[in-house]
Amino acid sequence: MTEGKVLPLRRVHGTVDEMSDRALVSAVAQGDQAALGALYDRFHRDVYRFIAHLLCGDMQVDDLVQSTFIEAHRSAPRFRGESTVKTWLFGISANLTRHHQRSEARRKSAGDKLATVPLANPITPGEAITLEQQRRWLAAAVEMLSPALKEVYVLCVIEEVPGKEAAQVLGIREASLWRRLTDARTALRAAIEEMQS
Amino acid sequence: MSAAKWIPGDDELDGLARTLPAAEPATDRAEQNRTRMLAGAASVPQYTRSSWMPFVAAGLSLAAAAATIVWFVGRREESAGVAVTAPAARETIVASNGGRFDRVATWPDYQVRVHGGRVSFDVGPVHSSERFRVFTADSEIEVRGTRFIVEAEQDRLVMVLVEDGAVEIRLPVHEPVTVRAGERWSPPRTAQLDEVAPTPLASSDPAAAAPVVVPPAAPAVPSRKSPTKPKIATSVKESAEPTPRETTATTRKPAISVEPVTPTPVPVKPSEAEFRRGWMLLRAGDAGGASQAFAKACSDATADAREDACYWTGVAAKRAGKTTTARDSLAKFITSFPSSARAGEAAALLGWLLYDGGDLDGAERRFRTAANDRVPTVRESAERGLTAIEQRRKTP
Repeated sequence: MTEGKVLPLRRVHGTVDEMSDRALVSAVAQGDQAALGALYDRFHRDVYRFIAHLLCGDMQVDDLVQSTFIEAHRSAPRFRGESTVKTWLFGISANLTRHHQRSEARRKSAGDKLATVPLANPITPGEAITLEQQRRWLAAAVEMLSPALKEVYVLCVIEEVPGKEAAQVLGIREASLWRRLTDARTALRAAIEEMQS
Repeated sequence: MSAAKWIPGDDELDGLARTLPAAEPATDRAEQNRTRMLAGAASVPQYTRSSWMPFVAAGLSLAAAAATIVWFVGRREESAGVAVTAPAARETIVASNGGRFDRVATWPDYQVRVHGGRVSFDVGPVHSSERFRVFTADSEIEVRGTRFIVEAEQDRLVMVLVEDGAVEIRLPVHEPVTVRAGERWSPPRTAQLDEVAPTPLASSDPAAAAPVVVPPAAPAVPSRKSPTKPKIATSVKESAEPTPRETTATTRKPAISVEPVTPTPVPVKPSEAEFRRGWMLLRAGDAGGASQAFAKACSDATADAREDACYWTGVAAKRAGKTTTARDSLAKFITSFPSSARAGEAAALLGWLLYDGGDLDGAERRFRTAANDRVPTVRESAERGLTAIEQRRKTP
């Protein structure tokens, strides 16, 4: 019963910060608001980056970060420690992002969606291929991936979550995960090649 | 010569992907998100561990649907001066003396809004998964099975008299107050919405800070019996003073024979009060006063908000044009809280103050510290500072 009370707004010092990630989730499962604040402090940047990679420029990243931790608070009693806490949070984020993207897709027309995909600057003949250009192409190609392929690629490659854990948090079989990862790489290469032509 | 096509292999592709620039949350946004997240989580129940949860959820959905129907049917009964008794007789609500109330929601989170007059409640045992709450515009009363009376005037809580059991009264700013059987309680003057100070938040921009949890909103209407000017509460002593309205309320004949007792709300620590005052003054445009208030809060080594207070002492002083105070305060903050999330920001701020004062070496040292901050805007500010120093040194 916390309504009307001043919530723990400040950083928690001492025991909560010293807890392991899993102990922190256990405390959250007990309804410990300070632990939830500490969990946020510890992981909100990772979650933000992960969602930002999935959404690519969407303005809703902040909202989804909030929702992720609120959902983590709700689901904490069910956390069984089969993955790391960070991966578990990524799983929650991925679900919420997927839901958000579905809602957005219903709202936007396909034309609008295409218009929002930022394309990399085309290469000019004779221009040397620098690492920075390659990065630009790859970033644009990642943005163009389908949501299903993008979440697998970001989770497994950029965030380096082990395949088994990634499959678990995404709710798919491990074999499907590897297949999607292969498809993602193929799609990325195709997009990059197209950008150069 | 045309460039060769770049067709990366898996390893090259993945390696490059890991170097893609990652978006970082802005510090102030992160603080606001944190605050809102905590406020949001507080109102969201947690799942249970058991696997039969889906069945419980389905049962609750059915129960909620049934309760909604009962509620819609039952709403018509509510009016001034009548008793409302639930079919299972778990709660009896009786309005008298012009009592006006609304039943906002039914079980499992029973909510009643009292607008005025006297309303008596007799509530049976409330299970742990249930709540029974009474609201006025400026308060929330939580019940765990009890008999009590609530009096309100113009949507404002005037008095609570508990006949049996206990209730918890929550007001903005103040700590919750528990009122037990035989006790009568009236709100202190500072509990009024038009005098309530905003809850301070750990945000880099006080103007952007959002309130955490507020009671149901209502226009701030001055009490008929205390038509005093809206005044900011500046001390704990003032908040403990009884108001004319309270005096009036307590002179009424109690409905029970027990000697009435007025519990005192838990006082706010002086440093906490100073911190809040600092925020209010800063918002009101009095940066100099704010700096002094923050400095007092900062000087209390045991204050929970000391880190924030020390930081804002420097910022407010800078805004007030008190550069010496600002420099000293920021330097003290950086020394006292080297691992603070705001250490980089403070270093950049201090760097510019030193730069303006002509201390280029000192400024450079601060900017170099800030240049490693994790917040991009802080790093950018530091880089600009270093560039400016370089240019000034080149200028004869």
